Amino acid sequence: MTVICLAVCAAIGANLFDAHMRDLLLRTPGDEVPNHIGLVRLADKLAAPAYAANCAACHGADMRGDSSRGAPNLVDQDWLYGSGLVSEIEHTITYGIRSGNPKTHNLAVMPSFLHQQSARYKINTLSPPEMSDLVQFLFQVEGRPFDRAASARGADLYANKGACYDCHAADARGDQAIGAPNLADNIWLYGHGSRDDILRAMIYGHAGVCPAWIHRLSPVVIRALAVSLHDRATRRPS
Amino acid sequence: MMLGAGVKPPTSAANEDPPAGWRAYLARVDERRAFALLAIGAIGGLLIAGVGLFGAKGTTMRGLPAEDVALVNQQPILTSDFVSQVETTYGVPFAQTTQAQKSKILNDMIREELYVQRGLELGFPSSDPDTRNALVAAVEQQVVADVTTQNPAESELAAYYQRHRDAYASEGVMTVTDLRYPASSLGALQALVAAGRPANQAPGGVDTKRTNGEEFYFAAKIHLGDRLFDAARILATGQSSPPIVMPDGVHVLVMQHNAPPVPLSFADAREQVLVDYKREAENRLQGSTERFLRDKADIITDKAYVK
Repeated sequence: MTVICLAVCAAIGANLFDAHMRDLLLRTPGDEVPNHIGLVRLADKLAAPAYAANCAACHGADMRGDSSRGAPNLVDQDWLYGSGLVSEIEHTITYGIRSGNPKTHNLAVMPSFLHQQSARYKINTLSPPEMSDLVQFLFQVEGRPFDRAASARGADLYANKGACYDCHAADARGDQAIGAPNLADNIWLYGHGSRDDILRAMIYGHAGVCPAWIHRLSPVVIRALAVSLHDRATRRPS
Repeated sequence: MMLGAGVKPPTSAANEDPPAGWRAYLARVDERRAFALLAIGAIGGLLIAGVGLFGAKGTTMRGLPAEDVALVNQQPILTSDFVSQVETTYGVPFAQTTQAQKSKILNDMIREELYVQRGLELGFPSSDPDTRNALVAAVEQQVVADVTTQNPAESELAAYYQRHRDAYASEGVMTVTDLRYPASSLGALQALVAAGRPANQAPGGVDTKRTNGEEFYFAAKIHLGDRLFDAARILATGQSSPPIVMPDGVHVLVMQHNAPPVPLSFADAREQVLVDYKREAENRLQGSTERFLRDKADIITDKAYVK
């Protein structure tokens, strides 16, 4: 009888402690959670099954993404939106990217420079030689072998007719406020940075999406995923 | 059962002492007291109902859920929204903002929530065009959200690609010069072609400069017009066209470089296939949603305007 009572008490105590820790995980400001190792462990425990069920299909079981689909690597510390703070990751998971949710990240897309087809952007279309010049300019920015004359023309297109600077910034290092990728870091969201990959992006454009999870996952699981992803991305290899 | 010696027999209520003091008062039937209690109960009930009705607070939750920073008439303001709003407004991480800044943002968000709730009470969704447009746009996006964000199986995409294979080809490019001759040159040009020589060898042709170096097929089509483009697209690199009679003279096209569109494999076209697949699914979903809403709606229209 005593053993049963003790077991019941222990189970109730464990449940209460678990509920308290979940509550603490939510009540602690997101960006401070990584300082609490106990909360990070709890987040990892809660996040693992949720990641496998909901995120791994696009970002891969190893979290390294899939550049053939534009699914970003989540552990390379290269953040498309924000600088990798837990609160920023949590916002992205909660509302997604171009997800249809009114609070989603949807400030910019990569337009097609082939046709003037976007109601959202007034762009100047680019000819094949102009696109080739821009590729050479990007090669130069990245520190790869490039054609000097073509790159000079590409730089002019980047800053003027193409208006690429408007999203990717004058130094081509992108803008994390609107999800415009850094073009100078040799990390490619789509493909591997080959001439054809870059041309394809200019010809067809890109507009990747991530679902909003606010109505599918509980707040504590979303917080746990954000903390766990932050932890994985910042963890030093042992 | 025999009662043993020393066992006390049970006593009945009748043998107990009569109640005294307040017990006696409660035991006695008193009509005035009953009416007084009834009146107190009725007045108490009315008071509670009145407070609930005119206090306009409704049923309230005393505690704040862990994921919320505030509840405004039970409508939650998420902590994550609050943090994002603070960081967006001040451009620094949340931890670096001051208490006053956080307090200001929270008050702003509460104010916004109160005004939104008031707007709903005033019926703005029925009368304000901006609110209505925003609602329509939000519902349109919500309807297709699942299609937009979920990836179909590869087999579904491959099947879609097979059904629309003609739509997936690389962008053709050409560099072509359009020469225009006077209408009177037609005979000389035809004679040149009949002799097996290229028509552009005839003197007197003027470059119309309709094209601008290497162009995508679609751009060349716009610049040359349908008829000249149709003649140009079948020319091989280095070839010139036979004379083409147009209202403004006789045209001869000289092809410097022609790279026609090449059908793309599924792997190369996959991304475009995915975009088209989703767009088609979204259109389908929008259509079926509208049909469903119309079916369940009670719509009465003026027959004069219905087809």
